[in-house]
Amino acid sequence: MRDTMNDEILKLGVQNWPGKVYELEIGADSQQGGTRDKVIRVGGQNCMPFLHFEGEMPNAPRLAIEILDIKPQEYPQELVKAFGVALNNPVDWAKKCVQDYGFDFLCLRFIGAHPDWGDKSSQECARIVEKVLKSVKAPLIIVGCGDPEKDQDLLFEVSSAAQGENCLIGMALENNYKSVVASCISNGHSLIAETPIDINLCKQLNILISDMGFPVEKIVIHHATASLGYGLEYTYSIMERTRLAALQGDKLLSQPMISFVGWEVWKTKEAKASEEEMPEWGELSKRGVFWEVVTSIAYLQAGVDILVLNHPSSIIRLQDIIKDLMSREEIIS
Amino acid sequence: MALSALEIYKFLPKTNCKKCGQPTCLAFAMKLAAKQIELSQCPFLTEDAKQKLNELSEPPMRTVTFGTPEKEVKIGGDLVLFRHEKKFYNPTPLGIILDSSDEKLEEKINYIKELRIERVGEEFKIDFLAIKDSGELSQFITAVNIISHNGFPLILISDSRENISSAVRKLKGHRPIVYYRGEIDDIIDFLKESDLPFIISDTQSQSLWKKAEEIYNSGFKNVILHLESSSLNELLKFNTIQRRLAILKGKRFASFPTLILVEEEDIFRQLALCSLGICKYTDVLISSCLDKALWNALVTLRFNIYTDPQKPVTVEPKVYSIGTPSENSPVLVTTNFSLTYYTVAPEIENSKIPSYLLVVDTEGMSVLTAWAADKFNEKVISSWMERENLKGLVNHRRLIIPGYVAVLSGKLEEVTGWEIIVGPKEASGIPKFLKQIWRN
Repeated sequence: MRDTMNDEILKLGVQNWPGKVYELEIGADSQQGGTRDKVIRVGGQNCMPFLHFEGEMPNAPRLAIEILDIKPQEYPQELVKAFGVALNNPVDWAKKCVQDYGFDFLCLRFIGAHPDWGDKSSQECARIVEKVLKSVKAPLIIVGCGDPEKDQDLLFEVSSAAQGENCLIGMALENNYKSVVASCISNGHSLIAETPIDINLCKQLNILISDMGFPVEKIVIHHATASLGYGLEYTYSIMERTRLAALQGDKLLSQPMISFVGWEVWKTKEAKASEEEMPEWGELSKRGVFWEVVTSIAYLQAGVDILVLNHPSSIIRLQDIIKDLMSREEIIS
Repeated sequence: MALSALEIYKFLPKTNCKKCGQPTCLAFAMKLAAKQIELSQCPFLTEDAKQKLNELSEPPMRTVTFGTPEKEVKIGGDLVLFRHEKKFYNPTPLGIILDSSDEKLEEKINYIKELRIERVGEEFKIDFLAIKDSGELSQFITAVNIISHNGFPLILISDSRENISSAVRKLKGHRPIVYYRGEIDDIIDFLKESDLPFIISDTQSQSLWKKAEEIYNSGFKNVILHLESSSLNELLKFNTIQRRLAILKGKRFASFPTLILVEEEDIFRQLALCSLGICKYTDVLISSCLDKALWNALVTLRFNIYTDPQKPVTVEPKVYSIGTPSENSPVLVTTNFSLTYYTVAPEIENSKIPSYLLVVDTEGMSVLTAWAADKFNEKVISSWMERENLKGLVNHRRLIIPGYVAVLSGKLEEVTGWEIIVGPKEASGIPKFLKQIWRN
């Protein structure tokens, strides 16, 4: 059913890009000297998200489930329902994600090490990493407590504990990147470089990190994540601009991007307020997951490569959605 | 698109006949480019040149309007591919599809009327309804009457030419969109005569573009394209190419806005198709879903994506009540950079301690930037405390400031006479902090 006029139309609508996103591997299997059961690959595309008719997108965006080292007080009801008693121990929590839900990519976040949240010692956190690595074989993202000072020591300890496993470690910030980079170099990890929604600061931090001898292709960009309804448009546009810059050939913005959607979404009122309080928002059991899914769909369109989520249902649903978006039915042969 | 004088000049006779009142054809072209003269002043323009000049001066994407006598809804009219380039115009109207044979039609309409979502002080409602004709004329007319009495703009969906024209007659003064589900040629005379916007559709993007080109060439301007597909990938491909052809290539048949009609049973497929459409170029959206949680998420997404990125990113400086604070509640202060506000406010909310948040005008700068620029200092803060009458609001005299500006506490205490409490540096520390210091 194709004729010349239509082929011309389609060709007119295609854009060719000189640049390409770096491809990154997370997790080391036995061949690579690690103990993970698989290696996760992200990035490598030379087109805007899911536009298979004008470029290659060799790796689908990946979904990781977030596990916390402690169960926070007043943890959202829907997450408690999904994980139950496993929430009391990060190793059980990780096992539940892998064995019960079948997830293959985990993010371990050490909020309990934050000076305001219990100030758990870095050594204790390192022991948790060791236990999780022993209990589950999925590749790991490891995120610190968010206190830039504490994270220097914490990320050193946890990255040593995971030596050779090629984890993705974060966050390297403008004011603590030196020690984070050093830890990642000596223990063979990739790292997440975080800047607050500013493309120039992002590029500058990537330069500083690569100046230390860290390979630019082992950086993942985090532009700071916003939840739907709470500044999503800033993150959305900065990610879109970053990806356009990558495709135009800017090597210092050509890294894969990550968003911590779950972490932001479950703080919002939409995910937590009761139905009595907010009858116009519909059922509480749906809201948090809908919020994670819609925020994620937007970021997928803006170019995100790794989404970190908190609710199992969000991951299961987004897997289907990504599968549909990745289907490659060529329109130009 | 705005045309330059030289682009216009190419189409002129170049005879310098002066019949238009200008000394040369180039002078005429310059006047025309500046919109100081009418194209019709040139008596020697060929029909072809006239059409081309008219086409070229049109915006890249058409704006199609529909609605009731009281409420006009605009569709399309965008100028860019990415929102950061300028902004997206005319937020995608969101509508719900109902069936004229539905026994619970009135009940559903009343329910939809009550679907209200508030975001940052603005109220959003379902923008329009689409009514699908079951084939029974009297039922269709009754449904159309109920909907129009309830003030909803309408899309009429039917495979009966007679039923559509009867409904349109009933809707005098309204401007519905016509979605005829048969061969468009069967109803083309009616569409021409009534001058109503209408939808053309196909299951294949290529055939749809072909139809669009034919329709455009027959002189129709108020047309909306519907790709009948429930594949996310197809939808993204079609919408992206359509928008690029219109904006980057100036293709007139691609200037028509696009529509999606989502009737999936699965609510996550609904969410996925609708969210993708809102982000990526769907100009009007119809869904069969009535779920409140779904609409809350979609309305919020549309609100975010269609925010003007050029506007300073601020929230209104004033005192915000979080929870239902009393005269004994804590008072925190921060800047009016909207991301600062959106980070701080939910964390106060998380503390479950009702509080007042004083947002001072720092011209949209974040805490540290504003402090460095001397826009978040003891004078600014104290003047906003007076302006917002904090003394009248609470019984105590204690103010919590962001940890990053701890250096302000001494001077601020001197100027205001209030006890200054230094809060955490990061908003994430607020819940724990508030619980600790505000035990009473």
